[in-house]
Amino acid sequence: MAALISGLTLLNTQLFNVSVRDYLPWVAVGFLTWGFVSSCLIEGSDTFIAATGMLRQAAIPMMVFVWRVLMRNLIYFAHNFVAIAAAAILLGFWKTVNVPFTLIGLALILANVSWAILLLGIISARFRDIPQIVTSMVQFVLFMTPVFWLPGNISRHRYILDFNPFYYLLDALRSPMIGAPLDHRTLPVLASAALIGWLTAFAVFTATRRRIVHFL
Amino acid sequence: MTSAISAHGLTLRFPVYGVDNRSLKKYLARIRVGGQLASWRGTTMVTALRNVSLELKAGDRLGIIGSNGSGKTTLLRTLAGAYIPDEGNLTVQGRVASLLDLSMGLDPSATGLENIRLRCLMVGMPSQMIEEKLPQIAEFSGLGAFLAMPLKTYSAGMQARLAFAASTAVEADILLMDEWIAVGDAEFQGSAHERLTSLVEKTRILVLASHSPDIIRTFCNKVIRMDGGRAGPIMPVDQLDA
Repeated sequence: MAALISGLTLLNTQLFNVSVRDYLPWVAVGFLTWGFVSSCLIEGSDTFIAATGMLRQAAIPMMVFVWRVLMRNLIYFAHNFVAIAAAAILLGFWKTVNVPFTLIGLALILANVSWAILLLGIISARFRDIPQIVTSMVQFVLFMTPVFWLPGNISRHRYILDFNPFYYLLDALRSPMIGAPLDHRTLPVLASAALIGWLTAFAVFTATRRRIVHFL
Repeated sequence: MTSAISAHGLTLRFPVYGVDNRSLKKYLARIRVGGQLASWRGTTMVTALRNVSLELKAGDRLGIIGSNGSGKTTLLRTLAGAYIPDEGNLTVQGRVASLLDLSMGLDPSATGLENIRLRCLMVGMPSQMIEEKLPQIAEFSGLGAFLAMPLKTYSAGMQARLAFAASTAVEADILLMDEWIAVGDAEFQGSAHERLTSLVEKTRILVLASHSPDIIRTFCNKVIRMDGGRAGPIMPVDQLDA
């Protein structure tokens, strides 16, 4: 990840005409968050499919498998975080980190990816083309979301940002970590997404939990 | 604590999806054209268990016989809690251990020791107990220094030994088994048989599905015959005709 970030910094500081000091924290925290969210979605599609053997012979609570995906990705996240922390110390942006809002942002991201894992896990067990669709969507979303480009570069078609849930997911962690102000919509959007998402995922889970094992 | 299994009128149906029905794209396309696609193959509902009732109490050793596809494994999975019946009710008292698929949850890139821990965690063993049991499981597997190597480097026989050693370390009141398990080379088969026999003796209730009347006669005191998802009455094992 350090190599990816260095390369992007080298390239994009020239393309966008911004300084390394401004751009590197942006792309570093952006990719940390994006990596976590995207791999949760991709692995989330495999939650129950990968657990076929266990689900078929024992009464293990199904949420265990959701937490398993989440925990595994949190470990990757913590691992990548070390590189970001090193960058923060070298470039000195650790001084401006807004710790309370960073934690709130992380909590909101977790609240959202967890329901997505559950929902994708169920739907993918039923429809086997979902994992491939998710994988290609993730690629598309990466380009449409300000992970390595700056939202300020967009003047027309602002809806690319306004209606992009991933923009808010990234903003929730990135802004407080690089000491920038949060988009005022981020917290309400993510909180309501978590609520609606969990209600949906839970409704689907209640309706299908008996069936999931037969999907496999 | 008492151990008992009480099942009344268990019926289990499950959907079997045709190849086309596994694709969201095709599913949506079908809705758009109003089900006109000729190649469409819909979902078939299979009734795997029909009105199965049984009562077991401590000391019961139930053998299940029946031809392939008669519902033996489905019944075991239902008793294990993996399948939830559509109708009827099922009460299971006591800790259940299912030895249906020994390789359940093993991770090919983890080492032998890690896999033993993983398998024990999966059956709900507290980690302190795992650490106590670990040396004994490791010794029984007879894999020695190989236990520090990843599972994928094992031969099929070695993997089976590990899976057997780990999954038979359980302490359970109710043991569910699909066919008598035989693994390993001649020498290991002997000790495996011994270990499984002692596990069966310790357990309060055994449910064993098998095609072999001899196995059933050796380990069971009761027997039911399954046919097309229906279970016959529970009979004493001596009424089992060859």
